[in-house]
Amino acid sequence: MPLTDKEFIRYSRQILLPEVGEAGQQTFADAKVVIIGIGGLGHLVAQYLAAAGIGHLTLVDGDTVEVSNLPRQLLFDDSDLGLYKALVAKTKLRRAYEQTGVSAVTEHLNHNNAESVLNSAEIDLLLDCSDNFATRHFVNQLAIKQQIGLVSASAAHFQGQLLSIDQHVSPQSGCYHCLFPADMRVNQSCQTVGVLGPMVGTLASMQALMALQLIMGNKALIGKLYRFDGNQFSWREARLLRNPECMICGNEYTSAAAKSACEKFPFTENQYE
Amino acid sequence: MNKATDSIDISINDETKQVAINSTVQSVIEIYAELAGADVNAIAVAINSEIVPRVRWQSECCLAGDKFEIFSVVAGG
Repeated sequence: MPLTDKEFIRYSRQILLPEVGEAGQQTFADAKVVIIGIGGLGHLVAQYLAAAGIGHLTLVDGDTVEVSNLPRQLLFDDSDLGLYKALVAKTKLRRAYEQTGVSAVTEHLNHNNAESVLNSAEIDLLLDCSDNFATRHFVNQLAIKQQIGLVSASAAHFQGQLLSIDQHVSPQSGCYHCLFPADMRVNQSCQTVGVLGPMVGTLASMQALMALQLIMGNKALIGKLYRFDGNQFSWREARLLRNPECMICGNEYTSAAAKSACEKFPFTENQYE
Repeated sequence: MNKATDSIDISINDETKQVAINSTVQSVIEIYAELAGADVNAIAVAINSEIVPRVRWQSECCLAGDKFEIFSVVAGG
């Protein structure tokens, strides 16, 4: 469906970009994105994508708004305390960006709801905005199993990480498990080491930009890890490399490997801060 | 022992370090972890801007001039 005059005016600054144009804007409007975690990262990513005219967002988070969220989760305010983040975000995004369809799932992603949340035939991109290692592994396994592109961002203290994987485009880059094996020790979370709002916001902005780039078809970003140091203001880039023995993507990524791995790593209830 | 021929210079997180020639990635990481008070099991590594999966740490030797970036996973959000 061609853009309406109203849409053309609304998105004119995006359409001006040769990389986007009218066709790219239409691609945005047709895109369906699932966001896991509507906290420091997810609330902003969701807002950017809705504002850019992405067609449909599914927001997944079982948490409610807490007062300690407010310094960095700018979509929420005091009147939202105690309400489900996914629902509050849905209401506010629908009000501000009526062209974007929004679904809210007020549960943490788990084995029971994963299938209904992630119907690969209908999803263009999966965004991991969660706040814990176990969820990140679960999301990675689902992305491999269902062959959906994944953009994973994280932030804590003054460190941020951003990576994208897509088994269709760059199987040699492996997956999250190749980079950070599930038995790895994790020291940093926002709850234990703290974080500043703009630090999470930086990573969220980069994640949203990467999502739009991937939807536009820029595949050059896939298979790379970007690390941001918020003390030194430096970005580092490294190519991801598949572990040939990876139990998630190392064999036939379309096969039982990811499925059985999902079963081997029972998902635990976690919070998306 | 001639230090000039038995050791090589590499960099770890932008600092030049001397390590024994033919050192494995594993041994470099273990030395770094001990000095930094870090847990080897909490570390990932990129050499010359390419991630080296953990299974290759034992079999891969480092070369003069290698740039190691040693970092830990960030999972928050």
